[in-house]
Amino acid sequence: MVSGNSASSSSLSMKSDEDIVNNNNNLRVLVVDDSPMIRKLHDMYLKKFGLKVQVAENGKQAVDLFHFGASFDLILMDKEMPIMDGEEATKELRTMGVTSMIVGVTSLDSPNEKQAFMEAGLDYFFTKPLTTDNISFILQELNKKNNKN
Amino acid sequence: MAGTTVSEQLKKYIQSMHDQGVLDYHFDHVKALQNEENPGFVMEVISMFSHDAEAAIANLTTLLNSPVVDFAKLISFVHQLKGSSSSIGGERMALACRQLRQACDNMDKESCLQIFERMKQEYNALRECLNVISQMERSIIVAQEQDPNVPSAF
Repeated sequence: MVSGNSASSSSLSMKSDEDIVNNNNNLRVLVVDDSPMIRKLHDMYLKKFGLKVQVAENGKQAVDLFHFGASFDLILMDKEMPIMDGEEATKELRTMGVTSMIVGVTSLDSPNEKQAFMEAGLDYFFTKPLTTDNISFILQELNKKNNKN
Repeated sequence: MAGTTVSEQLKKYIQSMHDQGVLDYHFDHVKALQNEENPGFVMEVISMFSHDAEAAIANLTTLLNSPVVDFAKLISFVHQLKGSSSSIGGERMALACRQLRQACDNMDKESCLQIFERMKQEYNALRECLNVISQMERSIIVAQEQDPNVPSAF
């Protein structure tokens, strides 16, 4: 399930694994999820693509990181988390002026809940679990965005 | 060689779990993340999943046994279980979690109780499957430590 601006997995191009890793060496990713297992899985998926990964256990930790001056190219944001959920954290980050790509990753079923999460300021939304195809797509879009800036 | 035999057994076992619908392709994605730097990755994820699932099921049991059910809290734990079971490839368990979520949305305690029992059965089947996989993975790692020429499982 992919939602977002001009989301299309048909735009994937074939690259060697080494090319992909080399292209992504400077990209920093923040994984925000209260599940240690999900954080571990996403960390491994992303490192396979050569990305630098940091993790946060809830939305407040993610927001605090930005308050203290951290910056990330990509944020993978879970929805349901204690203390501050993903929707609230996304709104807060956008209010702060954060322009990182924010991708919602959640197992929500309700279309209304998904829409509300997207409207909080996500660039894309994926249903859990994230796959390597999803990550390839995200990185393609991220590289396009970075090339425009 | 013992390690090769266990590797082949592991592949066949995983395929049989696919055929029975206990596991789906997401488990294969998890397994594909295992490499020489993290030879115990699959075992680690299985352990994390089991720990989280046991805790969530215990919480669900307490909530469903309450005279007045807090459906909002129920939904929170069901959502957590759905996410973790689908992430590890527990197809049937994830489906049961989706059905349980629907019963929670309808605030139907009786349905919740019935579906919860079914979900626990699916969890037990999944846990047994994952335990077998963990044991085989451990055997392969031990065999490789004893003989580095033994091919890995990844």
